[in-house]
Amino acid sequence: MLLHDTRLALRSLKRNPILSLLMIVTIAVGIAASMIAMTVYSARAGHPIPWKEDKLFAVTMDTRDEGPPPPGLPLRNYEYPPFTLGYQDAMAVYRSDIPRRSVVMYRTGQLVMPERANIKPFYVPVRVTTADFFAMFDVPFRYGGGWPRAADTTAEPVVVISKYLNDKLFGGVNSLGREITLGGRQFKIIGVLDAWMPHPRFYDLSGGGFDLPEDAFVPFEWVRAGKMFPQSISCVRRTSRVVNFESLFTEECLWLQSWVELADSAAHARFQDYVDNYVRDQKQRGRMPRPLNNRIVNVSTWLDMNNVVGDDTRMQVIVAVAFLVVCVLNTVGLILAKFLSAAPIAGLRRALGATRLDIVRQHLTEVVIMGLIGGALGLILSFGGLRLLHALIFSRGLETSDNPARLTLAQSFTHMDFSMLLLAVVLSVLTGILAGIYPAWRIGRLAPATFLKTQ
Amino acid sequence: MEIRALVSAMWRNRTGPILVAAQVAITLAVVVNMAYLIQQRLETAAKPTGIDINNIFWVHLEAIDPEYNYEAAVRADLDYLNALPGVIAAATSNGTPQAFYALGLPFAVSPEQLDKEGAHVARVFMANEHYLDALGLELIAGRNFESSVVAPPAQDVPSGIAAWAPEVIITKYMADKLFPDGNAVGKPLYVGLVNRSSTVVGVVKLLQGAPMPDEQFALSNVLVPMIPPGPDSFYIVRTEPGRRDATMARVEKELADRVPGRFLSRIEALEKTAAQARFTFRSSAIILSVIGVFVLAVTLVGITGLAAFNVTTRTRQLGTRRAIGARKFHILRYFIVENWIITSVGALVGCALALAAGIKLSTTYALPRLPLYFLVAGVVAIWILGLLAVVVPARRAASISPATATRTV
Amino acid sequence: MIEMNNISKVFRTDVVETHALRAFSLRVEPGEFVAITGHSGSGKTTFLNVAGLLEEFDGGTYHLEGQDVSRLSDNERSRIRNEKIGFIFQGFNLIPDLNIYDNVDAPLHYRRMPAAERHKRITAALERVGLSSRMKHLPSQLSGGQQQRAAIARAICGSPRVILADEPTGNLDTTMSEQIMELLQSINAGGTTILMVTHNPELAQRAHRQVHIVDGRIDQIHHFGTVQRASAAAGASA
Ligand SMILES: Nc1ncnc2c1ncn2[C@@H]1O[C@H](COP(=O)(O)OP(=O)(O)OP(=O)(O)O)[C@@H](O)[C@H]1O
Ligand SMILES: [Mg+2]
Repeated sequence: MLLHDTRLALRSLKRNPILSLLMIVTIAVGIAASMIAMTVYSARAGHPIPWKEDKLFAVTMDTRDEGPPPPGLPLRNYEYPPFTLGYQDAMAVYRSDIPRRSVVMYRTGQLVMPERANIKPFYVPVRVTTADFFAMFDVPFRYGGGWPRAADTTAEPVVVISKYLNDKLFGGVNSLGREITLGGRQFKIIGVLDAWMPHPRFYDLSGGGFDLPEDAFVPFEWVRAGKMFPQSISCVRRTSRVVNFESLFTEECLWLQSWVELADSAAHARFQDYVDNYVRDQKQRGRMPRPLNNRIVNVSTWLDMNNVVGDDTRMQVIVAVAFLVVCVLNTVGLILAKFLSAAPIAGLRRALGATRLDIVRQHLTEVVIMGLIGGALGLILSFGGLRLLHALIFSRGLETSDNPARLTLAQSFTHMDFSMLLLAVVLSVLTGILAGIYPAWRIGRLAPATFLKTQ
Repeated sequence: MEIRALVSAMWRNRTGPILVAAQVAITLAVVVNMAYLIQQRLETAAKPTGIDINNIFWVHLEAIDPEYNYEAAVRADLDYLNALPGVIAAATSNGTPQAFYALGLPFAVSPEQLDKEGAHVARVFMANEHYLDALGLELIAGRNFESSVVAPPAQDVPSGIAAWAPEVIITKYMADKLFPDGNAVGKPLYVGLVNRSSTVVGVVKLLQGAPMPDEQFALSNVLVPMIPPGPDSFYIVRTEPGRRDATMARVEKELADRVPGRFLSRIEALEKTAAQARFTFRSSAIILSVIGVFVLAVTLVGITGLAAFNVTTRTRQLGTRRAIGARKFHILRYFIVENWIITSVGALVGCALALAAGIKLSTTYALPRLPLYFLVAGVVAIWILGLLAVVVPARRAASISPATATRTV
Repeated sequence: MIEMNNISKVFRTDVVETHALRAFSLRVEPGEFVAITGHSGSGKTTFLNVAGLLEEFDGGTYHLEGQDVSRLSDNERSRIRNEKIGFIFQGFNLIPDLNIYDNVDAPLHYRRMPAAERHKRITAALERVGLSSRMKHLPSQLSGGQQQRAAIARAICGSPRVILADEPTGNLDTTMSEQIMELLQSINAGGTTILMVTHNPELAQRAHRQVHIVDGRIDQIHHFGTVQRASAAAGASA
């Protein structure tokens, strides 16, 4: 039966080659546009660490001034607290023993002085962090490991470096125990990471979320010991006064990310209480004038709050789907035209004994086949489109970097994985069915006599 | 021609027209809003900067020697750069405009105003007496900084900012905002975070800090006379037209080695920096416009397809119409009017869709509401393109021989 | 009324040249009812098409009401068809998307006639063919005979000088054919010239004249009667 239907369908497709081609191309471009948009979307909307969804939480507190947002600032979601903490508050979080693990950290840039003369000194992004970072975010190690908590308070000169830095400085060999010069000081390498690219880089989204992790990690106390100035800092209160480096620790300036790992929802509730109580206490001291607004959020919510997907990406999906709808409407029109013009043939079949269901099924088969061909073509088009997108947009600036992870990062935006392929197949069949169901029904509904009578 | 008969005939076979009208509606909504978004972005990208972008480059040096004498090096470098043939001016700063780099500080006329009305946040660029020339900025009131007022480098950024300076130069945009009665020159300007006041000594006509749609963000800029804290140096160099690349090459070769203990980490034409800053929002506008063009194309194909289908199925009645006296023109007109009605119904629905989408768009992107002339232009464009799409099948219809009436059975 | 001299018409396709009309000469007087007969493929329809300005011819001259129509533009030909000629087809050729009223209205549209005048004529024409009660029906909702009567209403409502009918009864049974024939005769009695192609010898004999075509040429002409004045004919056909 299926074979018979397929044969009829193919014959019918061949009967109006231009019309069939037009429909297939229409479906193909519609699917291609949707696939391209959704691929880029899914690359941005992915969850970087799903297995810790109910364990990892970003900590925020509303430390801002009272009143409405400053005039002229087109801030979206002004109801969210700032995404970073000041030193004093981050430390208060860090002191709590409710979380299993707790990280306070920030990003800085430091100069690396290679020992080999043929490499020029270069800047690397450095994360100054407390010890739990590696265990908390499941960072994979190639060699060695992180540092003990004690090292955080004593500014021990130890460092964990990325695979890239190890490749660059030491040719990828086990470099544990060797030293590197970072910001003018010697650090002993105690750990080398394996390839690691959380996507998006959820733990610090300040650069938009799609950047590589840092290349060196040093204990937190180095903030003072090394005067490692944070890459971004914002002072949120009118009364804040920055006079020197020490102001980082004393003023209402935000520059620290704070994350906790909580055992269960009870721990979450207790921790929320802890933070709320801390803020209430601070209010007594005249700080934090806004109503309680401390959000301790899991990774998904955190990504949402930070609008990691981005308006443009979302807009592209909306527009692409609208495009697909137009393509489907278009195909419905063309298919209807085609079916109606071949109605006498269908009428003849019915007169010869085909049931209404036979007619509907035969026409639907034709459309689904067309949808599949269109989908296959659309898939090819979307591969091409994604490559083009990569070449024109995402690969920009790659040539200035010698870090191969950059290329991987760039490619991840235009990479179609298996689930996307599956989606393409589903989409094309669905498109075919959606486009064909009405015309097939119309043809099936016509009484046989009307076919034969017309013209 | 009787519109009523035409409409009722159309209504009898309404599926095709409804499908096309729906396509037109969605297309109008998509295309109008995309066009608006793109126009906004391209306009933002093309806004004047006040800077002589094409003749400027910047250079960044990293110090590696702990004994490196930053202050002396800056003095020597500036002397060297300013003396280079073809160089109009070279200045040192904490970063270049057009790069989204931002040291933002809260400003107000007085502490009271800051408390009451909130801050006017502005980008701060450290400048010396050559800065205006090095960027090609036009001073429209007051005067430039004297070299004596330029503060020596501080320990680090916070202490530098904390020390602040007695004088500032601001943009006209900011002057108009903060001193609406005019004449900002000579007035005090209060800086929130460091709790200080400086005198406005000059006003520059235009300085776009970064290409952003929001004028407040783009045009609120303050120049403060101080050498940025070391030990890394950053210079902005402006050359005579046509001599930028040669000068860049020379600087790249010579500059770093003039003082030991450092290296040149980056040198770049400001043109490139500026293009890079515009790239992201420009590129996504391009993606959107490509999709928009496709939507339009598919809809036009839909219009042509429907008309062509109608020509085929109506061959006999068209021949009959010709036989009973319709001129070619009447047939042409029939198809054009029919199509015009379909596109107009679609456009009408499309207008509603477009406005609804426009509201969403403007809240998402903090844009002004979709202007009505965009909608009007969209409808007119749909009319014209729809007309073009139907012309070919309509002409085919008009060329059907009247003899068809007796020949087709 | 119609004066054809030496008309020839050739259809050329890739393979063959068909001489559909050869040295075809015919004169039709005003008010005449001429039946055209001939075997299939003999050129009857071609003659009618040429006479009705639906097709151009290749050689010879053709005067319609004294006007040379061989060198008219497409627009002028359309105007003449619209004002002077009414067509009745074997397949009725009503416009399926329009109701009967609008179908009859169609030719009037192409000459800018005021709405009131149009309405008067349409109702009169439909009255005449006995379809007043079916004005709002679609063609598909009528029987073949009714459709053909509607087509006749459409042909006469513009008061043409001549009506060209190509096998108007070809798709109808005998009773229906009879009705249509009577209708045509009464129209002819009103002074309208009628040229009718038919295969039916009985019907052909009810015309004034029968022109028999063989192979694109006039083979024989039979005279059955002469044109009478309208007033006298009115009673005869009833
Ligand atoms: N468009 C055309 N192209 C080529 N040949 C044609 C065309 N129209 C008619 N002919 C040929 O011209 C000849 C006359 O055709 P015509 O239609 O006038 O015949 P007819 O007398 O009306 O026949 P019937 O009684 O079957 O309707 C036929 O041989 C036909 O094949
Ligand atoms: Mg014939």
